Amino acid sequence: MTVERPFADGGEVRCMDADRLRDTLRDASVRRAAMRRHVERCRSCREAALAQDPTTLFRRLPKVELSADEVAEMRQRVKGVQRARRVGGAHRPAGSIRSAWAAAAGMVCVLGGLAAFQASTNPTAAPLNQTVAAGTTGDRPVLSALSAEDEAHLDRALASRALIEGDDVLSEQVVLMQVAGRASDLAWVANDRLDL
Amino acid sequence: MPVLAFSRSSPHRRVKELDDRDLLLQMAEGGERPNSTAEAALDELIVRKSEVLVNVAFRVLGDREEAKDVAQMAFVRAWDHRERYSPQWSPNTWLYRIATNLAIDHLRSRQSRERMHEPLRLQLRHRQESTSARMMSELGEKEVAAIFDELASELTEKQRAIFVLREVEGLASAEVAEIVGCQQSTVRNHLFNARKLLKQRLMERYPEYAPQGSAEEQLS
Repeated sequence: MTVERPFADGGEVRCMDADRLRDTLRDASVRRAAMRRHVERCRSCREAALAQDPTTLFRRLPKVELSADEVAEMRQRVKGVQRARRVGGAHRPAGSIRSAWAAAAGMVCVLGGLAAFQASTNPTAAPLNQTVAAGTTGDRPVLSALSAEDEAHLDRALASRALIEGDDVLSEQVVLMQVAGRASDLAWVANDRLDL
Repeated sequence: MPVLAFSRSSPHRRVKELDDRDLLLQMAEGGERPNSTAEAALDELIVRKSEVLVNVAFRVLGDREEAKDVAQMAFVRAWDHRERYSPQWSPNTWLYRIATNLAIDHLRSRQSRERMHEPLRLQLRHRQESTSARMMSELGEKEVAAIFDELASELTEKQRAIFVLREVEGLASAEVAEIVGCQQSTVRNHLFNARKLLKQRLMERYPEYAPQGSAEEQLS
């Protein structure tokens, strides 16, 4: 019975197919890859390899499969980081994804503070309402025409959010803002707004 | 509602025709403006390589969400350092290097070793013709992952990364050395020590899976 080491310092296998691979494949790296694939499929070779080196067990660590949504989310998050940096105007080290949710809560608090300030200084003005809904579903309001002042207001809010969240701009956020004292509702999808 | 439109002549369409190396070169040369060819190249890179990078990070970290975080950071870092990419390097090696180093850093910075836990006592599956190697070969992936997670917590971050790259990902020693930034001899040392420790702990904590006799004895 032929004994063959499937890789330089791996286990031993003992079957005709393994012998054939060893005899026909001269390139070491190609042979190694082929033997490895064989050991995964051949029960007797796998058991022989395990008997020789139990750590070969860990070659079967599970593989992560990403859904199309997860890949899309990855793309959005990376784009969000790039955009936040452009808004912030400086290079920032990448932050934690998980801080994004805490940052969103911070954003709501800041805007809530703005609302309270506006209400206190102009009691007749409509309160500044903010609704932040993260997610990709739901109706998105139409982008309205913006006055220069509204633009400035939104830019400040956006810059504030970028500062709060660091590099992690949440994708697909819908922020509904009713500027105090104005009739128009300003509604925009965060990512689209950043593209303007 | 504003809709992002893709035209036939858009950079997004062209990047799909590029191989990985040309994609990285385009990223380096394509400019910084929004929707530039560089950004299109990065976007395509993410589509192609997300799963690969998440997997290597997952096998080092043992946590899917952390692995996704690390993969995202790897793409951002690849973007930040895109001008450093040289066409003489394998694109995968370059990306693996970024992701592995981030995963190692992440592993080091874990405040509490919450993944250090008491040995998991898995229920044995008794079979009539049971040998330890056969029992091991019958283990499901989740059980293998649980055992690895427990035992590999005693490895250094570098040992764990090198073991994952060499043994799980199946990369050659030369490539592993390039990825972790050390000599091949160092890779072999780390691998030797990692295997030794894993084997020791496997024997101690899961003796039912201990190999019975040498391969030569089994052959006779």
